[in-house]
Amino acid sequence: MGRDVLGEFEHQVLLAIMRLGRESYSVPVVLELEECTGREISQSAVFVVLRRLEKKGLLTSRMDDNGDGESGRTRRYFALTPAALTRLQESRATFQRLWEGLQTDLDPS
Amino acid sequence: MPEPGPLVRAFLRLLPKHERSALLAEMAELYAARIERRGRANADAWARREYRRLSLRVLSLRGLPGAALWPVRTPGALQDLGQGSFADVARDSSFAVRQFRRAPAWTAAVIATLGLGIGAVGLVLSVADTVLVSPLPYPEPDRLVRLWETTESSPEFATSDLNFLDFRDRAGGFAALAATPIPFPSPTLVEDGAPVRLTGVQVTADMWDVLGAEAEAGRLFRREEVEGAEAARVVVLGRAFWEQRYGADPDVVGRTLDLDGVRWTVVGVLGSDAPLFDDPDVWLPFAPRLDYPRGDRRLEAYGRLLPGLTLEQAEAEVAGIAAALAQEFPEDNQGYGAQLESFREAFIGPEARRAVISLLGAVTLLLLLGCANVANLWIARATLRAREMGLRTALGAGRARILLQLVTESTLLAGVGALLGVGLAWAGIPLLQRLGPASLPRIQEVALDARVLGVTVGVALLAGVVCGLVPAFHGFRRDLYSVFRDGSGGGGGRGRVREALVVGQLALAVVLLVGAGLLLTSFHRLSTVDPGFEADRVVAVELSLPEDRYPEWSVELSTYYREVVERVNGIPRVRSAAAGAVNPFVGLRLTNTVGREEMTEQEQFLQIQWRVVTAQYFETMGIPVLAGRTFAPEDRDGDRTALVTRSFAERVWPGEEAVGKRFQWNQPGVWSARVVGVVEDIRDTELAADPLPTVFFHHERFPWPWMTLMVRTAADPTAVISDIREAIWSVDPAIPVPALTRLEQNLRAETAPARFSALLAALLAALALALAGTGVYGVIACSVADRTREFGVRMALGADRSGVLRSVLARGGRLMTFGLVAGVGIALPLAGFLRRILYDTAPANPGVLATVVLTLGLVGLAATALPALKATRVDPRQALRSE
Repeated sequence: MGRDVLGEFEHQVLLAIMRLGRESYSVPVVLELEECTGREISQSAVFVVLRRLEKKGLLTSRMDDNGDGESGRTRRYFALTPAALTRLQESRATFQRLWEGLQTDLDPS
Repeated sequence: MPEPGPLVRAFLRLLPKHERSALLAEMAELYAARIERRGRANADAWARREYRRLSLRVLSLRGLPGAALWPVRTPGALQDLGQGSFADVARDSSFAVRQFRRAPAWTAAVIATLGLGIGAVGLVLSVADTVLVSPLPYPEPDRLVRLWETTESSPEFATSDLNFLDFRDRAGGFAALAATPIPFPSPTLVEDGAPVRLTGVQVTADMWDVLGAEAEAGRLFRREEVEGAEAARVVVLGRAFWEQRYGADPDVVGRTLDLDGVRWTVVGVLGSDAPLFDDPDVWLPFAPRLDYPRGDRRLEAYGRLLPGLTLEQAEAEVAGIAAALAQEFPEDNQGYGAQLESFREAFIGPEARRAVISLLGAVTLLLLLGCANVANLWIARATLRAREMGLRTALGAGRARILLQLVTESTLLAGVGALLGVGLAWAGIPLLQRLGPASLPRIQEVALDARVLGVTVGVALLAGVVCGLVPAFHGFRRDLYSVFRDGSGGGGGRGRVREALVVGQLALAVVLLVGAGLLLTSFHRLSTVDPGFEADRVVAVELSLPEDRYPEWSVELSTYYREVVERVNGIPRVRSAAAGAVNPFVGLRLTNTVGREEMTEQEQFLQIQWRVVTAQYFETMGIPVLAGRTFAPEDRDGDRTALVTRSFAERVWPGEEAVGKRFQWNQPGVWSARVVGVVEDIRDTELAADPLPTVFFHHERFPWPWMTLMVRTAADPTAVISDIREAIWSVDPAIPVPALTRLEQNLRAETAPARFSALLAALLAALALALAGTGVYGVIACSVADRTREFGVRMALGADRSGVLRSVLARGGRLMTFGLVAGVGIALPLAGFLRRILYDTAPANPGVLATVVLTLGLVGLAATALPALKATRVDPRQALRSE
């Protein structure tokens, strides 16, 4: 295989970050995923995946404490890299092609 | 937030401090969010779950060994397909484990099928390895041979003292040639006043070199001290006897033992086991007798070939010597040749070899059957997973990647199956040893050794992996388009492979069932063979008299047995008692040759069995007298008289009245005897063989020392046993009386090997039947499931239920027909292989074939009928909506 293939969960995490805006940290990502998938998401899984996606060059992160001053702690904010955007576009195109084929077949009218 | 437990804290400590605090802070934040949304109880439960998940994830963050086994849990079936083969395998394994946990019944079926097949193969392989392959417990066992004299009618004849000495002197091909006289003695040891009966064997001193035996303590006796004018009375103890009786005391060497009233000096202890001679307690020296007739063939001869000499070369030499002896001593040796037999052959025998090979064949078939089932199970599963595979391919997973995944899954299951199989084999060995016939040579030595284990596990993994790969090659042929379009995924090609597998299974099952059917028939025939005597309520005890007070052929011997029989007959609950030279199915083969009175050539003589018996023998054993009379007091002296069996009379005097005729004994001109009666044929050495012509002589005329006392009792014999013992001792208290056995036990032991083979075969056949049945069921059920929509449409369009039923049954019927016809075609030629272990049962047996076909047919019908009935209950609306 030429390169890493995105796992489904990685895929979902990337999409969740995209939905949340330009950058986000792990807690909103977990909540967003739970909202969209309707099932409980493991926080530690997200924690691990975020670091792995960063290693793969699909996310960048920076430490900041501007979000919630009261807690007084720094958070790690993640943002998608251009590579991640390309990958998401590609996979969306693949799925769209696959689904188009299916729909015409099921519903010829 | 609930505090993490100690285990979780320990895991967390593996993380760098800043990661740990970040993780816990995020968790606290999520906890707060959860309380807000779902309430505290829900949040607490979540926290506890999260702690558990976290512990495992920590490992993957740290990159510790084992971390890869616990990757991020992904919702759904998709899995992150990374590079790096080891990590892949580990990840695939964990994925596989989760897959298996989702389909426990399926997984259990695969593991159980593989485990059973592998266990059976491992078990039988262990037996085969021990019995057929592993070396005999002697150094360089391939050089060990048995020397037989041969005649036209019998290829295996013992040799005589003088002939043995000539073979020993003239043959240059042997490193050593030794002899032992039959029967083996069973001397009585008197120690501390109590008589004990021992097992013994007499050997020439060269036997040590033949066996390659060494002394454990002391030394072994030498030829010059035991052959010659003054033979030393020296004895070598068997190791087991030395350990059990003397606690392996080395001081026993030099002690004297009172054996049969004669004092023997213990010179040493044999250092090795001697399974060929059943590990005797004592080894007595034997010197061939120059004064014995050359025609009295009473010695078993064993030799060790010179290194590098082949059996054929050595055999050519002994055959040449035999030819020379036939010329030099025509009156005793004319018509006799000689041949060699390898020790292994002599020890194992062709029947046991054949039985073990047949068994090995049977379990291999069973494993194949199991593999077909497993392959079928994998295909069924692959059908269910077609979407998953398709999606993975769509997302860029290469064939190699998917193949790796499938190999991982099937190897994992095969590994567990192998483990189960090895466990079963291991557990099965003691069971086999307990239930198996004692006549199977070396059965007690059977053990799972590393080689067998290696082969078994290798076979298991190969079988498991190949089975698991069958669907992979199928998956690749399917294009993605059809995967997504056709939800059920049961393509026609796949169906055909499954059908072919089931046809193969049915064929294999036919083979196994035919084998089992034949063995069961044979066992049934054998167990209903009439031995010619009535065994119930008869007890037997072998007696052996010390030679010093009861010399061979002496009047003391005949007096002793007459008195014993009289006193036992005097016991109230005893119907009748007698003594005979042979304990049925246990004793030796006593054979010789006889000829009609007018015959002058040895070649015309017929090989027969002979027995020495006391007067009431026929009455006690329930052997019918067909003509003439039994022994009477007048047979004690004067003219030699004999009773003969029906086959003896028919062979020697066909169409004539035997009573009153005379026959010559051993060879022309030795002596002759007059027939006074004819009795029914008996089988008392081998149940499966045709009864040999047998002649009975009166014990008081031929006082043979080793007799078996037979006692027929009026009721259950157990009550009389101590009375019998007392009666024997009342004649001579120094004679040991071994345990009394029931004659029925001897009979049962004689049918034990057949019972055992039949039992094993029946077990294997039952498994085969179950596997074939589930195979048929699986395929038909799957095809019914695939065609649910079709059936729905057909019934919506007005087809009636019987039409649907017929169509499913027809499909099953076609499979069955192919399978059964193929099976019969394979089974018929293979059955011939069983011919030698079958008794009175033709390998091409129409009754067995018909039963097998009927049984499998019924099972197949049931396996087809269940899904077929389900098909008729399809609700058309439901079926159409499900698409």
